[in-house]
Amino acid sequence: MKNTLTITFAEIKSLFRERIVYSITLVFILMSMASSFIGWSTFTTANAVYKSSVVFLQGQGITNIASNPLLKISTLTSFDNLIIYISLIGALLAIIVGHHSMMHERKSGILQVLFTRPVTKKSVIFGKVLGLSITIFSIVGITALISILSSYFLPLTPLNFSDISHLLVFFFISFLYMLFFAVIGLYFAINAKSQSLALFLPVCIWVGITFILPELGTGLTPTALLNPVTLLQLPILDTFFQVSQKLLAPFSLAWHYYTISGELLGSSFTASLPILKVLMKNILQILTLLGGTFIFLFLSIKSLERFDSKGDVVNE
Amino acid sequence: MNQIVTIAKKEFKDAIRNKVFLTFLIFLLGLTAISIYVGSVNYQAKVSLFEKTYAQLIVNGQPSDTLVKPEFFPLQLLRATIEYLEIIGAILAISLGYLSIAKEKGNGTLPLIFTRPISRKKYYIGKMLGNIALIVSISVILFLFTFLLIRFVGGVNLNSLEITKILLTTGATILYLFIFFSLSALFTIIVKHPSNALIFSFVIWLFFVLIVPQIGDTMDTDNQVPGGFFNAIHVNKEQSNIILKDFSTYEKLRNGTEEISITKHYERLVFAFLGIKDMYNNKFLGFIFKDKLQDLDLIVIFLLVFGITPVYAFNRSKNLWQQNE
Amino acid sequence: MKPIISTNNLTKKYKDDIALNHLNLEINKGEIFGFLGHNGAGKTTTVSILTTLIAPTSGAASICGYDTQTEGLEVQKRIGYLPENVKFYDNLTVYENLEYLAKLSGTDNPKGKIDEALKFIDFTGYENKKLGEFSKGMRQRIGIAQAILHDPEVLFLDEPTSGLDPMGIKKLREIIIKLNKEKGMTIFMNTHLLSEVAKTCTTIGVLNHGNLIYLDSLENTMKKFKDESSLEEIYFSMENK
Repeated sequence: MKNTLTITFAEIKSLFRERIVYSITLVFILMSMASSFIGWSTFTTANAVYKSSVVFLQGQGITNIASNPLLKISTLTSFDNLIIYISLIGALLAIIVGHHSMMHERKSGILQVLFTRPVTKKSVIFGKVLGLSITIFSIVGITALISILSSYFLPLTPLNFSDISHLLVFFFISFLYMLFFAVIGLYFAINAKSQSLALFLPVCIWVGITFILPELGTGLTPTALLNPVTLLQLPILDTFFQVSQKLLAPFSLAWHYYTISGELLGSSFTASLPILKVLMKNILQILTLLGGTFIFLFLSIKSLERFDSKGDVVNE
Repeated sequence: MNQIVTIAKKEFKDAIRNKVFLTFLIFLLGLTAISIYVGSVNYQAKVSLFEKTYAQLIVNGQPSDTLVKPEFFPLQLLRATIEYLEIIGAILAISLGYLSIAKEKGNGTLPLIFTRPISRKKYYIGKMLGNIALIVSISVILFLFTFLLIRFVGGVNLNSLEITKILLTTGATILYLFIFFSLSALFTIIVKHPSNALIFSFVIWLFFVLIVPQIGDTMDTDNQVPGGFFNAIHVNKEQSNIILKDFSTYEKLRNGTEEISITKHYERLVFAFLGIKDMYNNKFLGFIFKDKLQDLDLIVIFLLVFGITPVYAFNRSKNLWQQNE
Repeated sequence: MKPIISTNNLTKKYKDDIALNHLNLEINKGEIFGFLGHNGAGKTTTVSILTTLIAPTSGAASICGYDTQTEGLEVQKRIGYLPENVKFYDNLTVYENLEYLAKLSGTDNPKGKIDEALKFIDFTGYENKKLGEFSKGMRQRIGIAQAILHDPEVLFLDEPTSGLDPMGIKKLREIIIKLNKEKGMTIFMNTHLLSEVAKTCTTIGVLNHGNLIYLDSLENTMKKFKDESSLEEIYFSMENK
């Protein structure tokens, strides 16, 4: 236990000294700040456009004008863009954090030294993953704080207690989602033959989870998958997609993340559901996400136990 | 000149034997097949929905002339392929640029090469040409593959205008991929540790390929409602343009955001070629070129800036190998 | 006879560190020059300047009478170089690696030269194997082969024996001596291994913190200090000055 904690603290310290890690963290936090602004300005403008359209159409002598299609039932809709930013920047950041936590040690040969000390390989991994979790938890925590605070500076509907608790649950799910990618980054940093493969492979998996699987399950193209409106408001699916979605369910982590987040935050057309209801409804999806993390954690431990001369990483 | 050809040849050979590169290429081909298939499933779904609704209307004795049968445009099937090229094609190009420089850094071959009677500029140009040859081959293979899929699996005969449009798309793709190749080569040249250069390239990629177009897209009023905001309130394109005139500052801001992304320019150009954007569908090339000249210009500017900068960076960078003991 | 390598007050500074301090060196054709010094003494800096890789802060150097800075191209045509820790291109075969470097060196008949070089280093029959499959010792021999493809007059070797096993070291030493004897190549070799110098070199220079503190022929050195163990002693006493 003591060993694990020693490794944990060393991990956090070294991650926060890595310039590339904190620069991406900064980008991530800035984007989350921007996202409430983007959400707010888009909605306000679209509403104003509707009003102008009504005036315009009346000027044309048209009387039966359609009602405003922007219902905005949930006050949390302005945060919808965060779902996208977390699945893009957040996940990439997590991969890089996970990558760094092992690659440096493999390259420098510290790992071999560490293994001659009286520490078990399990405690090395647990120490590292705990360090990763604390790091990512802090990053998500700061993001949560900033986005909740920033909503007070924009003339949005003020957040009540229920809204804030929905947001907090959303950020916790986001933390779990990012942790999954961090563990993937860690796993490939242990196993990949070269440093570039250790980065390319997790990025490929991420592209697969974020774009390819959802496309196969819904027919949405990548651009549509990046727009919360199309993403959270699916038309009725064709049989092909109904079947493929079921088949791909164990792997479609991004899709699960979108579903859960969409239900928590609500969209322009649907109210956000009560927290407990969302959690109960998506219990399998949450378990899939946790399961994925544990599988890669387990695989990482296994590969460290078989670790021999992997310190010899090809430097390209 | 001979030396440049030697370098280019070696670069080509080296890359096609690389696992990272091959994995990406196969990945991209697989995706193309999948996305064309998904595209056709989507089209068929639309048709069957139309037929059902049509039959329903006839049974109910209601007028059916408001329904328009979804038309089939084979080139529109390429939409998802193009979007994947924007994303994964760019990663592939980044991997080429990165590997081309990082390998030499890792091998320690650069100090050796620079004692040979060849200038650094020439050396980089040789490497660049080798990679261009590679990018051209990838793009040609990919679009030949899509052509064959449409022709033999889809059973659609493309006319000569459509084939020309696919060729133009191939050309635009080559330019697009080259920009990302140069960008990551540039970072790998100037940044001391290659892996940081790779991460840096990924961040730039994320920002310009995914985030910036995403911001522009989500800020689009028409995208606030699935199926189109203006459609929902029965306002057509010309009317919407008049209404949006009052919101020109917002639109300028939104458009300006999109404009900084090279991906968006590539997409606008190619979507026009392929008629994915409806107003360009079945139009002649003159019309498309006239309308998309600005995007083409910007692609060329990006191309020149990012094509030339690495040559000079390579000539001057002090981070190509460890210089002091 | 004009020296084939000569330096005149050659100095290199990195910010405030002096890597090389007014080095004056003359090496004649046909010598095997052993450049001794601890890690970081400035040996690689010297070789980098002599091989046109970097520019000196002040002073000048010439190879075969050509200035390394102003007549770099002429120098490059006349030298061969094997840097420390060069791994070449793993994905290419032995032959492809050599062909590439031969062409870049401006060799007229790459095929013939490669066969000749491979025969010289006793490495025939492996031409079509990828380089990734070879051990460090084998790679180092290929490293020598690439450096002699264009029949250079001077060969620069930077710590050629580092990381090799005793067999590899012995083989490499034989090749170096053979190159000098049969082809008349002048060889400039950086090393921190004293035993190597005694077995291969004709002239010895010792560099300490950028300063040349000793320069004489092996013969004279041996005469001066009688046997090898005292050579070691004198080396340490010089270094500690």
